[in-house]
Amino acid sequence: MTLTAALVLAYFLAILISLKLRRHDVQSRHLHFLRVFFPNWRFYHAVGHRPTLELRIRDEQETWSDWIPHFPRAHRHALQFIHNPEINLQLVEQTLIEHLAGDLAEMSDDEDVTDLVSYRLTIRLASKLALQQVHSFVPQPTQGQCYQFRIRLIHALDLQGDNPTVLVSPTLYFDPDEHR
Amino acid sequence: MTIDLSDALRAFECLCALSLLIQCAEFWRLTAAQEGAGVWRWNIQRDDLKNAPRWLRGTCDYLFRPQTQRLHLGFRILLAVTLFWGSNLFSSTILFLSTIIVLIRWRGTFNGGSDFMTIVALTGLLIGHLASIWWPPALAWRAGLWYVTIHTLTSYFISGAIKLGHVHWRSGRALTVFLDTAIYGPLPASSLWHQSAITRLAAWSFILWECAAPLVLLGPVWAIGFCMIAAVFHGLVFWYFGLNRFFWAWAVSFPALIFCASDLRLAGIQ
Repeated sequence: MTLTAALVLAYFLAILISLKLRRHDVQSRHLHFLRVFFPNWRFYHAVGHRPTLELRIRDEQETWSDWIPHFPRAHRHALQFIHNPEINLQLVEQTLIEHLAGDLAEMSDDEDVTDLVSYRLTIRLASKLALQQVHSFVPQPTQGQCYQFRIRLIHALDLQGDNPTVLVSPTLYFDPDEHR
Repeated sequence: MTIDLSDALRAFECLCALSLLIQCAEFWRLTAAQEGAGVWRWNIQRDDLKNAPRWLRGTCDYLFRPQTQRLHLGFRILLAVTLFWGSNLFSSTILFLSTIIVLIRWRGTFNGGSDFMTIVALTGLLIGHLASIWWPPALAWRAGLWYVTIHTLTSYFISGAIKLGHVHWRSGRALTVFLDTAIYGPLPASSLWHQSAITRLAAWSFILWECAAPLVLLGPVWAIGFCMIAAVFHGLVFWYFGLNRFFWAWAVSFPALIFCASDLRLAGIQ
């Protein structure tokens, strides 16, 4: 065995040992911009609680709908193999929800959620999704119609179990100029 | 069977160009999501930089204006096209920096693993060009392609090893869960992916194949076989999860893998 082969073997052994010894991930919203330099190569690695955005809408009679969970969904098309902006956008929106859940877990007591960039972006996402739901019934939201969102950590293997709600937004009103 | 350095490098640059162009076209379409009524407004995101120096905030404000963004993406497309004729220090440096700028606009990453691999490929190009200033070009490019190969093999190996450590992956259950909650889900009741024997077999196939990634270095035939399976694997990831960029971002590394496997075999390992 040459020295090169020994080095290669030692490298992958070191990786195995580091995976075994690893205690926690580096997760800080202050390192957001540099994330691309810290690949973790953990894709779909564990079945656990998934942060999920849920929405509800209040109509003119001031009746709230049920909470409706939002899951990114799309129809498959072969051309998406080379051009797939819409699905990639939905996936990055789900990542935003995961970042918000991470920020909430990391937030100290003296911080205000409204200062979080991830929260303010999620409001815009929730507004877009709420409008899409309203548009499926009427062309434009009517005056007095409003919406609310919450973030729940849902376990894929235990949908009826302990799936905590980590954030409930205040009642939010549709901005007629938004998303036009 | 071997691949020489110049052929490997040409294939690497052409695949890199293709991957970057696919990404640029998608980013171009998504500029609407960052402007006006879109979710990803810079006037909100700039608060991520509220503790940054004033000059940095000013630079980002300029770079992320809609007109500048479009100019930037247009220039990036031009530079990516030039890779089909070969890279140089200028194109590699600008594409590397430009990728970081685009990703900052998406708060660090846009598409996770494919962003990491794109940075790895561009770093490989940069290493080749920068090292060529001091070293003989052949040695410099070997260093660049080896950098890409080590990262690629690490990505597969870690991904496989992590899955191996999780009981739900070993039982195949994780595969059903992830497919059910994926972008094209939920799975129909009649789907084969609800059958535990099939998901267990598929999960173990992926795990063992990913963990076997270091065997690529045994020789070019192993590497070619591994890359063919990798292409099918990433094709399936696209088909079930919609992750088209993953296919292209990892395909860029295949010429580097085959070259490095040839390189090591020449060093006496077979």
